[in-house]
Order: sequence, then C-alpha cells, then structure tokens
Amino acid sequence: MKPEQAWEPYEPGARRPWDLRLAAHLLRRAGFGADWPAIEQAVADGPAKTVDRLLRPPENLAEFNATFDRYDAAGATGASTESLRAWWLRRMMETPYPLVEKMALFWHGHFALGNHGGISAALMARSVQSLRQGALGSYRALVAGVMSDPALYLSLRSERSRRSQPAPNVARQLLAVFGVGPGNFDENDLSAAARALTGRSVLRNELRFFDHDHDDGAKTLLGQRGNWNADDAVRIVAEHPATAEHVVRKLYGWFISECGEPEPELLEPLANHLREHDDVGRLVEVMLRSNRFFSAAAYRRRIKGPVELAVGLARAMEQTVPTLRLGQQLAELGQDLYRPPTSAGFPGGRDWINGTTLTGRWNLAAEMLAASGAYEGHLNPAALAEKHGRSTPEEAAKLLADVLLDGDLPPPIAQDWRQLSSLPAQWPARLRELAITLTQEPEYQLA
Amino acid sequence: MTIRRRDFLKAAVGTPALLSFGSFVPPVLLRAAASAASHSDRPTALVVLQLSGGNDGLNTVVPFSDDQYGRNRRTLRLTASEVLKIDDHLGFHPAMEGMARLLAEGRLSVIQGVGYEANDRDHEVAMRDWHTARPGDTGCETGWLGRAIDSVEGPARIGAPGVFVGPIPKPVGMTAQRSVVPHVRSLDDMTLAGPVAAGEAVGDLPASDNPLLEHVCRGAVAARLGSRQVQDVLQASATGGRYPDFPLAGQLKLIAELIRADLGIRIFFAELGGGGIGGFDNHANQRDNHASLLAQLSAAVTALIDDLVQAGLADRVALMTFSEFGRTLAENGRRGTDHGAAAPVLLAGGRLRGGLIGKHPDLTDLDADSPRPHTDFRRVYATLLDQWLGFDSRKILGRQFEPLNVVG
Repeated sequence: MKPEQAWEPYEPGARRPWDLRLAAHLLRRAGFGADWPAIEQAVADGPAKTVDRLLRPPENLAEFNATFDRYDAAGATGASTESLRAWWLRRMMETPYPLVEKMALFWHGHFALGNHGGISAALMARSVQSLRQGALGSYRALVAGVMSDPALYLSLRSERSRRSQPAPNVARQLLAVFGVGPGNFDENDLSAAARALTGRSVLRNELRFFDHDHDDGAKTLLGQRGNWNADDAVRIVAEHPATAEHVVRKLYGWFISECGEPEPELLEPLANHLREHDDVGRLVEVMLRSNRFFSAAAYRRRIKGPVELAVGLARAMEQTVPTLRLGQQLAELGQDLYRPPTSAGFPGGRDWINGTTLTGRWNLAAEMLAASGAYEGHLNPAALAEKHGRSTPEEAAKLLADVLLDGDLPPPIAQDWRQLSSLPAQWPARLRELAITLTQEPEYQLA
Repeated sequence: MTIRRRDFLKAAVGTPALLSFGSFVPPVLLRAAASAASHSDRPTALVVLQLSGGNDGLNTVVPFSDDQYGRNRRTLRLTASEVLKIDDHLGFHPAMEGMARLLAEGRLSVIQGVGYEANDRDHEVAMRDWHTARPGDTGCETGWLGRAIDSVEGPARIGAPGVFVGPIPKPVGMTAQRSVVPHVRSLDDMTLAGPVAAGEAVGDLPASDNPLLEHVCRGAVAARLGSRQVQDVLQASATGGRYPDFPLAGQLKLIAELIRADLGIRIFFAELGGGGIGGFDNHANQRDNHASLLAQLSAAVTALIDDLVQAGLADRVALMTFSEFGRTLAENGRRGTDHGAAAPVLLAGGRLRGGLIGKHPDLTDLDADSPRPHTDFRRVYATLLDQWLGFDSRKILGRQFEPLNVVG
C-alpha cells in the first residue's frame, strides 16, 4: 500500500468487506470496545457513518461530564489518587463519548504527569481534566497547557528553576517526550530550553514566575536565536516539524499497530496534516477512516492495556462494576491511572504481557465475570443473552463470541454448545464459564 | 501447519515433546519440561532485603574489642561475652545465632564499611539514593533493579524477571521504565483460576503472521506452566523448610516457593522494619527493639537458606541486605543512636566467598560521629549484577564500579 493510499478513506468492497470484525475493531480502537447494540448498528451503518457518530460529541455529553466532574472534585482530597482512579474507570465504562476518554488516556500516558506519590489528588484531577478538554484539539495548546501545569514540575522534581540553577528535567521532557524526540536535539538545545524556562517555580501547588530568577540572555534553540522565555521555548519546540512526526508515530502505535516501526514515508502524510492544521481531532478522523486502519496490518495489531481490557469487558457485558478495587488491580498489572511509573509513561505493546501479568489478566477477567465475590456478579452473560433474545445455547454462545472475540467462537466450543440444546434447564448457568473461557483466548488480549 | 492447542498444552505441561516446538517455547519452559532433576543449570536469583530506618551496623557486626566502641556505648554496648564471636575483634549481635551459623558454614559474607560519600543522612533522600543507585540525581526515576529488569531481552522476558513481595508499595528500586514488575502477595497471584487452570483450552495455534498473537501465546504457555509448577510446589510443601511465624519469614518462604517453582524470576525484593514504630530508626531505647529486629532478620534468612540447601538450590540464590545508612558511634543520651553513614551489607547464600570482606571501619576516623564508608554501595551492586546475575552493570549503573571479591 502506498502512503497516499494508506490514508485515503476505506471503501468496503469484495476484497475487504465491511463486517462485524471491522466494526468491532473500529469500536475498540476509537473507544474501549462496544456492546452488542453498538456493534449491530455499526455493521448496519457502514464505516463512514459509524466514524461520523464516534467523532461527534453526543448531546448529553455536557451533563454526563458535569456529573463526573463533581465526583472527581469530591474524590480529589489529600495525596491519594485511589478515588479519582476509580471514578475515571467508571467514566470510561459509562461515557457516551468513548473517543475522548480514549484520547485522554493516550495523553495521560504521553505527558505522564503524576509519576510519584507527592502530588496532590486535586492537582492531578485538574491535570487530567485539561487533557480531556483538549484531547481532540490543538496539540500545541496541549503542550502549552501541560507546560504551565504545576503537576509537571512536581512530577519531574523541578519545583525551582533559577538563572544560576536551571532545571534540565523539564527541558528534557519538553524536547524528548512532548517535542522533537530523541536524536533531534543536542545538549545545546537542552541547555537553551532550560535557560528559557528559568524563573518558573512551584509554590503551594501554583506555578509562579519570578522575573529575577529568569535568564533573559540570548539562546539558540533548535536553530532559532533570540532572548527566548518559557512561552517562546514551548512554541519553538511545539511548532518544530520533527515534533509532528514524533507525535504522529506515537498515535500510530495507539490507533493502528504496535508491530514494528512504521516507515517515515507512511507517517509523512499524517505528520504534514498535523503540521498544517494542528488539529488532533481531524488527524484522528483521517486515521480512523483510512485504508490502513481497516487493513490486516492494523487488525489485532495492538495489545490491550490493562484499562482497555477491564473497561472493554464491562462495556461488552453492558454493566459497570465496582472500580475501587479494580483500579488497584489494574495498577498491579502495570497501569496505575494518575500515577504512571515514570515520565516515559505506561509500558505498552509486548511489555504488557508476561507469564505473571497474563495470569493476573486472566484471573481478573474471571473474577469480574464470577457470580459472586468482589465484583458482585454485576457482569451477567445469561442476563445479556436474555436481553438480546438469545433463547438457545447456540445463539447465546454466538452472542458472547460476537461481543468478546469479534465472532471467533472456537469450533470445539461451538460444537459443545450445539450439543447443550438437549439440556435446556442448565445451560444459562454455564454462560459465565463460557465467557471466562473466551476471555482466556489469546486473541482476547489483542485490541 | 497448525497444531491443536489442546495437544500443544498437553505437551507443554511436562513431556519432552515440548522440545519439538523449538523457538516457540521460552527456554525456561523447555528446561522445566525436559528435566526437573537438575538444578545446576537454573539461572541464579538475587533476593534484595531492605532494612528500613537505618540499621545500626555497629551493633549488628560488633567491634567488641575496640575501646572506642565500648567507651561510646554506655548502655547499648555488647561485650565479648555477649556477642557471637566471628574473630578476636568482631562478633554478631547475640540475637543472630542463625546467621552466625551460616557464617561458620561459609554461607554468609559480611561486606564491611559500605555506604557512599554524599549520604546526607535524611531517610527519604538516602533511601532513594540506594534505590536509584544514582545519588543526588533527582531526575532519575528508575531503580537499579528496575533497570536490570528492563535490560532483560528475548525469551527470558516472558517469565517476569523481577517481583516484590510483602505489604509494601512498589519500591523505587523496582521501578522500571518499560517492564511491569508484579507484586506477589501469595502463590494465588501466580496460580490460574477458572477453566484455564484445567487446561481446557481450545482452538489452534496461530499462524505466526501476527507477532503479537505469538507473544501472547508464549505468555500463555508461561502462565499455564508456571501455575502448574506452583501447584506442584504447594503439594510438596510438607517437605519444605521450617519458617518461624512472623511476616518476614512468611515473605521469604513465599520467595523460596517461587524459586522452587522455577518460574524464571531472577530478582526478588522484600522489606523488614516498615515505617514508624518497630523499624530500625532507634533514636531512643534501641536495645530491645533492635534485638528483636535482628532476631527476625537472622531467623528468617537462616530459614530461607536452610530451606534452599535442602532443596539443592542454595548455590543458585544470593540474598543481600541493605539499609539507607548506619548509625552514630555514640549513644545520644536517650539510649538510642542517630543517623550515621557506613554499615555492613550481609550476603547470604551459596557460591559466595563467605566470611568478612574488607576491614571494619576505623572508629578513630569518624565523620560527624559515624564510621566512614570505605566501600561504595554500587560496588556491591555491580558485583552482584555482573558476577552473580550475569547482567551488564555498566549499562544498569551508568558506569563501571570496581568489583568486590565476594562471589565464589
């Protein structure tokens, strides 16, 4: 596939027909996976109309967000982020606009604020809230917002920066993570950016600027010379052409594939789009509509993060589950919301899975689907089958396979469930076990 | 060719047929399947045990014959008749009978005078320095063990190279940039629940055009085999070692079980002392509290080593203790001691040189009333990384540190 073709809108055809698999793939990547009604509707509507709907904020969004913002505010006391974490998971499970939460999660991993315990929950709540608000807007605005967020300076242990003592951690983060990326800047750029940032200090959880601490001298940053201050440095880095490529590469891993590094030529049209329009929402739209997105090179070419795994399971079962304990369990699987392990963000791709974490993932899914225990049996496959009018074992098994595995019901299981028709009284009770078995298929770990 | 996953799993849980799967299966699993009899080809493991609060090295390995020691410790002094003598000058605290025996058996080394120049004697700062192994580098977010775990490449990554145990938050030392470092509270965390435990898997092995699916399948084999091995260890637990009844001993017992299960875990982390009451930070009335902690330390470590000796695994495991700093030579007037500098690091396990390593710090050359370190702690780390675990310490510690002669 040529790069131009790769990002042209996908048109269903004989070679790549629109079906349940691609519909479920789209709903997984643009959100956290979907329930049966959403999949059914997407199959009927086709890709163009489904992407339209995924991108458009629903009418009740403001009301929904206002409710959850109040929960966040109530939960954000002290240093513990346990309560915030639980509310965010709940928000992901219930939101009518999953794309924005999926992007907020992406930016949370990208900017990676909060990586040690000393930062107050209130600051972290505000921080994630601004990522949510700007999730589909201007990337440059996002960078500028994060660069004036006190949580950044606390995360990087750079509460003070003075002319005599610049704070290189923030400068490095700006260049290497938010900006042009490793290999596209040198020690002189680092020192110039750190000097431009001098005078910024955090006092009582507020970012302040002290003129007498600022180094107002001339600096050369990424080839541009001037008496740059912090805003200048942020603008120069955010507008640099390499920044767009760096961000687009990360977005490619998030939306398209974690298999191997994409060629620069493949990314170039996307990078140009971001350089020209600086509009994340429109860029994501290009990606979600594209041939590449619906190709075999993208389908199941990501490993679900722990949050995607658990939220997806709840959404597929059309129920929410208690999230306080879930937040802790997901933290132990490597994704502690509001507390990324380092300023490099969360692990990803293959690093999510080893023998121990997979045991944990399987056991978590089994616990969530259990009839009793910490998750109180809220997820109920038999009730789901009944709700959707599946009255035979074969139909019920098909439904679970459709919502959990894009319809891939392993043949021996299909055979077993055909034979169950002769045991009408018992089969609904066995649907929990079937759902657990399906979550233990390797494909279930893939997004 | 597709292989029935059911058949594959049948093979994966313990017959040489597994060998025919070649590169699909991680070596740790091949080894487990091929022979449970031989322990000598197992990878080595390191157990890192944190003593929280600043352990009083001078009353752990006691310079009982030194006048300076006796003069400065009016109430805390341990005499020649009380200590468990190592030689004519040094002896263990009387509560450390087990460790004294391990030393006599050649299974314990005492590395003396360990610390670092810039230790500012603040608990949080010093502990962070020991964990990051980058003293003074506030930008460092990862721990030395986390970086070691991140440095593991290839099939060995599938078994989780490092875990921590006990009721503690994730230690900074175990913070990795790209690896998930599991917290193991009990063997249940390593045991599969639900249908998968019965091995009732169905479907086909994937055609390998999706490397991520292949990766998950490798993880699945590791998870199933690991779970089974843990079950085997549990069933054999009647023959396991005898552990005293306190938390640290329970945690080391769990580590021994994980080692016996041969899951490929190379690095374990445990902690003694916690924060606040009961820790090693004895500014007042140190004597009984310190004795109790050292008794727990000694008995738990001894139980672990004895257990591993019995299992034929002692030569594959080394345990290292550390604390953020030692304590002052002089008592402080409240029958306690204050934050100091140098302290001994204890190494227990097999294939160690054993005995005293390096000389006891000179008590006439003090730094703010504390013995000065003569051995940088990162030399201990480097030695264990390079010579014990076979990792690349230069990559993990950022530079070369002169190795110590401790690994036998």
